[in-house]
Amino acid sequence: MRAAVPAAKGPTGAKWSPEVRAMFVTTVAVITVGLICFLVIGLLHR
Amino acid sequence: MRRFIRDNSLSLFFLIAFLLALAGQSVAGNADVNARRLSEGSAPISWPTYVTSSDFAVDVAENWQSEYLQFLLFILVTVWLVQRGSPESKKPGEEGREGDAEQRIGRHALPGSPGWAKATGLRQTLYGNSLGLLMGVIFVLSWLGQSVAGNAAYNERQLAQLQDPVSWAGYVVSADFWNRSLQNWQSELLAVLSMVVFSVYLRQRGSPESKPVGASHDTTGTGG
Repeated sequence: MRAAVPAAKGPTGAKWSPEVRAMFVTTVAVITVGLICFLVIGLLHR
Repeated sequence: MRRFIRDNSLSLFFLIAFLLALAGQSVAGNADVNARRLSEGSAPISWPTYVTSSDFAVDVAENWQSEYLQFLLFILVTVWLVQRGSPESKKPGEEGREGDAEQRIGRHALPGSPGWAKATGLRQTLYGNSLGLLMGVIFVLSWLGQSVAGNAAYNERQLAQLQDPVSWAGYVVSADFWNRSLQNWQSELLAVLSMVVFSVYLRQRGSPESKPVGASHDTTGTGG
C-alpha cells in the first residue's frame, strides 16, 4: 500500500533502469488495453 | 534474466496472478452465462464470443474502477487524515501537503531527484500529483467503461425480455449501474478500513505493510 522511497541515484539524476521501466510500461499497457476493450466492446454491442 | 526476475518479483507476481485470475474469470463467467442461457432455452456461446461480450467487459470494468477508486482515495485522504498507530498513516501533526524542503522539490531537490521535481511551476505541480492523477484517470475511464459496457449488457437483457432498451444517460442513474458500483465500493472501503485499523495492533513480520513486530502500538507510519 505504501510506496517505498527510492534510494538516491547519485549526481546523474533519477534514471530509470531499463528493467523497471519495462515493468512500468507493461503495467500501463495492460491497463490501457483493458480500458480500450471496455469502451470498444460496450460501444460495439450498443 | 535472473536479476530481472529478482528485481521485479513483486510486480511480476501480481502481473501473472492478474492474468491467471482474469483467464479464470473468463472461463467461469462463460460457464455461468451458458448455464443461464441453457435454462432460458438459448444456445450456449463460445469462449471467444464471451470474452468480447459486454457481459464480460462490465464484470471486469466494475471491479477495476472500484480498485482504482480505493487507491485514489487512500493516496489522497492520507495526505490530510491520520490514524495514530497505523503504518499506513503519517504521524499526527504532519497532516497536509508538507513544505518544499520536506518534499525535496524545487531548490530543495537532491542530485538524484527526478527532473520534474527539480523544475518549478506546472511541471512540478503535475509531477507532484502524478500518482493520484493517474489513479484518478484510470478510475474515471474504468467507470466510464463500466457504464458503456453495462448499458450494452443491460439492453441485451432488456431486449431478450421484450423490454425497452435504455439510453446511456438513463443507465447511469439506473439501479443496475449503482448496484454494481456500490457493491464493489463497500468492500474496497471496508478492506482499507481493516488495513488501517488492524495494522495498529497486528504485525506481519518482514512486510513493509506492517510495523516491525516489536514496534509499539503508538508508533505511526513506520514500515518494517
